[in-house]
Amino acid sequence: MTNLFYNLRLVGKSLQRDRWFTIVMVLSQALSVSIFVTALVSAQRYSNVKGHLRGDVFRIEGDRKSVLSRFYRGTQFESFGEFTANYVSIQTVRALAATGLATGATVSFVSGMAGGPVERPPGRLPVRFVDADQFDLFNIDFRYGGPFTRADERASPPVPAVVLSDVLNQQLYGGADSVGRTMRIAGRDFRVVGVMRQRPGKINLWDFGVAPENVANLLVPFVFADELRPVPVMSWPPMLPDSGWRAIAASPSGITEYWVRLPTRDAQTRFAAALATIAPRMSLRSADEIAFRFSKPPAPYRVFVILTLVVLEVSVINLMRMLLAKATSRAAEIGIHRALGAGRNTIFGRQLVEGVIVSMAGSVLGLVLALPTVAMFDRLIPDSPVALAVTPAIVITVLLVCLLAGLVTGIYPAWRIAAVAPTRYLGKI
Amino acid sequence: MSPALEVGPILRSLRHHKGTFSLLVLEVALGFVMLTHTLILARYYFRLHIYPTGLPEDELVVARRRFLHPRDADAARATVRADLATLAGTGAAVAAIDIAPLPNSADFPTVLARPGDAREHLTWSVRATSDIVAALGLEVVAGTGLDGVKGGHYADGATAVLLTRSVAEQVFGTAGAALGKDVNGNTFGRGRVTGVVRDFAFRGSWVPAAMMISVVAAEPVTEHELVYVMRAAGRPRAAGVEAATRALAGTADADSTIVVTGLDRNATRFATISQGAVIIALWTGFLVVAVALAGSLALASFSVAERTRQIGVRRALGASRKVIVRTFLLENLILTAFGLALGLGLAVAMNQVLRRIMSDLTLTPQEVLASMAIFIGSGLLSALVPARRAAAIPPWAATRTL
Repeated sequence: MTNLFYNLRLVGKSLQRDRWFTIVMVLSQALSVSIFVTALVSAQRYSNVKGHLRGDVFRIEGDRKSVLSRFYRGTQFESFGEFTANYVSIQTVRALAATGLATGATVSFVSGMAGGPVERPPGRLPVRFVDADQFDLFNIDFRYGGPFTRADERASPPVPAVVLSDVLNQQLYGGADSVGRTMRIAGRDFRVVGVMRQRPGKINLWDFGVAPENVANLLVPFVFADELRPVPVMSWPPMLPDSGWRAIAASPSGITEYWVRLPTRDAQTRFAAALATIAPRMSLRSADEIAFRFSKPPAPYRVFVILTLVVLEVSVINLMRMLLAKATSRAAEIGIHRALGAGRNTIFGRQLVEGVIVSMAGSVLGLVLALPTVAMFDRLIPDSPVALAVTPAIVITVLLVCLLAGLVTGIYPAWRIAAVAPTRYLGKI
Repeated sequence: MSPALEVGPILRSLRHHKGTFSLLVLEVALGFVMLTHTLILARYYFRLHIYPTGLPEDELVVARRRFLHPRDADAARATVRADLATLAGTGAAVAAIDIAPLPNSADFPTVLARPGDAREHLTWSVRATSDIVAALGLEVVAGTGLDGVKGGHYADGATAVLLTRSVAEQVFGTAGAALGKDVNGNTFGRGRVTGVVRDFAFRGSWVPAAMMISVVAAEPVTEHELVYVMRAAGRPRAAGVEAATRALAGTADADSTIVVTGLDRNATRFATISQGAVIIALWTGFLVVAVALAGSLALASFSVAERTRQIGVRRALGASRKVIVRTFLLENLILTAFGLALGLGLAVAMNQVLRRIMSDLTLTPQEVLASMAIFIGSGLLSALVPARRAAAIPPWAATRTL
């Protein structure tokens, strides 16, 4: 034990002796780690989109290999080409709902509407039309209030209740409890009954999309669609918006996602059979399968992570050079230690610990520096309204990667210096 | 002493310190890989944002009328006609359009095909009223604008369509060959090419193939919103916005609101994202150079201390200070050259991997040369500090012990 403390004290002294050198080592490692963390955090927003989704939830999907996929391949809108497969027509939705086979089901599509808080002049308001089962299917957490219910939808007339997303509540009400406030949408008044809670730094599977209104929106019961006459943001094959909501709803064009809950294998088989009759080109995809598709972040983020890994490698090699140069300049001192009885292993261990300490100090400082870097990234690239967040998972990943990098960094200089023969420099002192 | 003669001792010295120097070579190589690719990324995003649109952007004004209650399509069309007349009264050419020239979210393109031809072509479709050519400041290179066909439809029901030169050439071979030919679109049905316009593009999400545009005659409305685009030749944007705002204010309508904006290319979300990506890419590239440079500069004192005797001997044997500085610079240049040669190979390999993820990230000589220049420059800079310190070593240092 005494030996350990003695060795650690020597490592500390070695770091203190060339203070500026140590500072440069730690700082350069920290800068590289900060950009690496930023890349991981930005990529993380698009991974693990599944959240707390139930295992028995499915979506109805069309053919993913549309003419659009090749058009967008290799660009930053890569996955956009496959988005056409996510949309089914209202006709199909109604026919599937009529079978009564799913224990829960919801449509889900976004439309830009005119409206906003009643006390302000109306602006452009992104609205997502859903059924009440949305909240149960996706296990949605609430920051304030709660969901609108099936009973609200089935009441005659239906209860005009809406739910705000966390991000929109932040934009419109500064994040305050807005339950009970009135929102006017296309001239109709609705009462806010709940504000959903957004997971930090991650997009949810159910509101995954390319437009900002996919996340910063307001959930309105689908029963009001005929009255509000939405113009869906997406339709495939494309529907002309001037045909009006009734024509859009009656057309065979896909405009909405349709999610269903099928708890048993029997229910799944029967639903799939019904689907084959109603819409032969559509198929049932499990939420797991859909989430798996999103397990890879979009192309530019993958490139960014790879490049920042190279930055980290450069930094590791840089650190190795510095440690090696420092140790070599101390060869005489090492020679004395060896002559006084320190074994190769002791010298090796001491050097390795010095490398790991510098690397880990750089990593911890890098994590701290990552906070402003991540904030800067978010401001410069407002790719999604969900703010980036340095989550515990990221911190652990980075620390593990850096511990490994620290070991790699320390091994070569330590091995080189431990090989110094005790007699080599003694004559020169 | 000629530089050629100095290379011998330098190479021997490199061999002696091979551990340290191979690390430097590796660092330069990886740094080069990194820097070339951040420059490629910066170029890619810069071009996404800054490219010639072929539109007189400084003169374009966009006006929107939002209905507070959904309005039937027929009623909306009557409003369009009234608004077009009002706005034309300001002396501007004006057209109703389905998407403002600065879209803020990605959209699906339209699939075009010639009747009887299985090949499909993707174009961005713009639906607009007859004066769109003048309102957007387009240049007709063959045929006429949409105003050449009364009501926007031919007698047999085909819709009048304008194609950009890129689309006409891809679908029909030449601009001239496209005129009067039928073309079907999955959004507008049966169309006929009325004219071909010089390539233009809308900013924002309209990539890739931003210049592939088809302009379709229509009276575009939604039950919620009407969009107009207008321009008066020579009238700056601000004056255009003011004129349009004043004109529309006179058309009192309790059930709608009006928003008039100039076309500011920096206002879209995609423009912000592209600009931001350029900054982040450059920052990442700067970091890698800074880390390498800081390391080398910090090493200066060690690399000199280690070679004090060697330098002292050379000084004692007659080498001038200049020669010592040159030796250090040459040594660094040789190492950098090794690093860059290795880096070039690695960069090509890395580029293959990255292009599988994003095919637009092509490695071009510009990035390679720029990165080489930066690494040679920073290498020489990092060598200059120890070199000057070494040159200050007096000849008698050779006689000193450590």
